[in-house]
Amino acid sequence: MKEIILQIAGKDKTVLALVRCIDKLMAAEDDHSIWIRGITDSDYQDTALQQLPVLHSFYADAQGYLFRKGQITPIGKVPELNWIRLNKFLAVELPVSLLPGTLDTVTTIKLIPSPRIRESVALLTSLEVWKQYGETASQIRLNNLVFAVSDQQQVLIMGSPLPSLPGKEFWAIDSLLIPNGYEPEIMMAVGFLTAMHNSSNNSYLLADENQRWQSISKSSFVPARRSAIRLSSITQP
Amino acid sequence: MFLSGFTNELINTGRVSVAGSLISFEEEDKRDTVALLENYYRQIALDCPGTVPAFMPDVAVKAAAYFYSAVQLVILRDVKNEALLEYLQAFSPASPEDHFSADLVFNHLPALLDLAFGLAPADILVTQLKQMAVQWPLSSVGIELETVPDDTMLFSHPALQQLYIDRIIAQKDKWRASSPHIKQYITETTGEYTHIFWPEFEDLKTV
Repeated sequence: MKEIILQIAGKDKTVLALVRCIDKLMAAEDDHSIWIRGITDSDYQDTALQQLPVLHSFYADAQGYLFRKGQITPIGKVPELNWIRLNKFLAVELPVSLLPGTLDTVTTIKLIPSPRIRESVALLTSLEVWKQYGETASQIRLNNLVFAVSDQQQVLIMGSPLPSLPGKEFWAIDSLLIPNGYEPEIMMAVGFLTAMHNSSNNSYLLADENQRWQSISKSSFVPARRSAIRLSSITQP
Repeated sequence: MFLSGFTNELINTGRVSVAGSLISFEEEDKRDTVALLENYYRQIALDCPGTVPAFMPDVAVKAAAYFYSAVQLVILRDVKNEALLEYLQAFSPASPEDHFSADLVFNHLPALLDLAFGLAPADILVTQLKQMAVQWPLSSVGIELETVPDDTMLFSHPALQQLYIDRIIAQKDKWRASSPHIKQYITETTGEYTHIFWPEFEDLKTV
C-alpha cells in the first residue's frame, strides 16, 4: 500500500498544529520545506489534513520512490531526513504569565487517618531487628528485598513479600511512601509534591504522620544479601 | 600447583583447566589449596544463615582433589575402569562440618555430573559421581538420584538445614521436595507465599 507524503512551506510550520494530534504522522524539515508522512488514503479524508497549505503531494512506494498522483513513473525518492513524530516535531510550550501570580491561601499537604489498609511496599524498622532477621531468614525471602540504612540506625526495607517484623509499613503513590493507615488529604497534591521534590524520580519521599518527609536516594538501596545485612553498621561519631 | 590453581579457577570463574594425565598432588600444593578454601569459606559463611559449621581443612582439600580427578576423568576417556576406581577414591561425611567444608567444591557436582552424563550416560564415572552425590546431599541438590540420600546430619545443624532447604527451593528440586520431612520444611519456609517463591510446589503439597 502506498503512503501519502506531503510537502509544505517551512513558513507554514504553525499550521501543522491542526494535525498534531494524529498519532502516526512523522515530520522532517529541509532547508525550505517541511515533509509530512505516515498518511494513508483513508487518513487523507480527514478535513484537518486537507486544510493544510500543501505545496506538493506524493505517493511513496515501499522502496521509497515518490510518484505524482495517478502517474507510474517516479519523480524522486523520499528525502533522507531526520523523521520524528509530529507531536515531538511540534512540541507544546506552556504559556508564560505576564506577571507573577500571587497565592491567596497556602494549602498544606496533610496526611489523614484512613480506614483503608493498602498493600505495603516498604517497612521501616531498626537495624538491630533487621540484623536479627537477616541471621536466620531464608535466602528466598531475602532475594526479593532491598534495604537502606539511615544514620539513626533505622532500616527501610522494600520489596515483596515484606518480612513480618516490628516496624512501620508504608504504601506508595509513585515515589511517595505513605504510612499505612494514612492517606493524603488531597490526593491530587501528591503529583505536585513528587514533581517538585523528585522530578528526576531518583529518590523515594518517605512521609510520616507529622507532615514531615525525607528524601531517600534510590542509589542508597542495596540487595538484601545476608553479608550486606551483617556488614551494615553505623559508626558513631 | 595443579590443585591450588584449579581450585582458584573453580572458585573465581567456574572455568577450570587440568593436567592431561593422572597425577598426585604435592603437599605444598595441598597447603595452598587449604589456604584458598579457608579464605573462601570465610566469604561464603557471611552469606549463610546462622553460624556455619567449622572449616575442616582435610575434608575440603580431599574434596578439591576428588573433584580435580573427576574433571580429569571426564576428559581422559581412555582410562580403564580399574584405574578409574583406584584413582577416584570416594569418601563420606562424618559430621556437619564435613558437609559444609566439602561443599565449597562439591557444590559444582551437579554441573560436573551433568557434563559426564551428557558425554556417556552409562559410563562408570557417572555411576561413581552419582554414588558421591548420594553421600553428599547438600552438594547434590538438583540431581535426581536412584537412592534417597541420608540427610539426617544436615537437619542436625540449623544453618545447614536452612541452607539445604533454601537450595532445594532455589533449584526447584521436586524430587527431593517430595520427601515428607523436606516438604514440611519448605512449607514452613515459604509460608503463605509458596505461590510466589515456588508455584509448582503447591501441587506437591497436595500429593
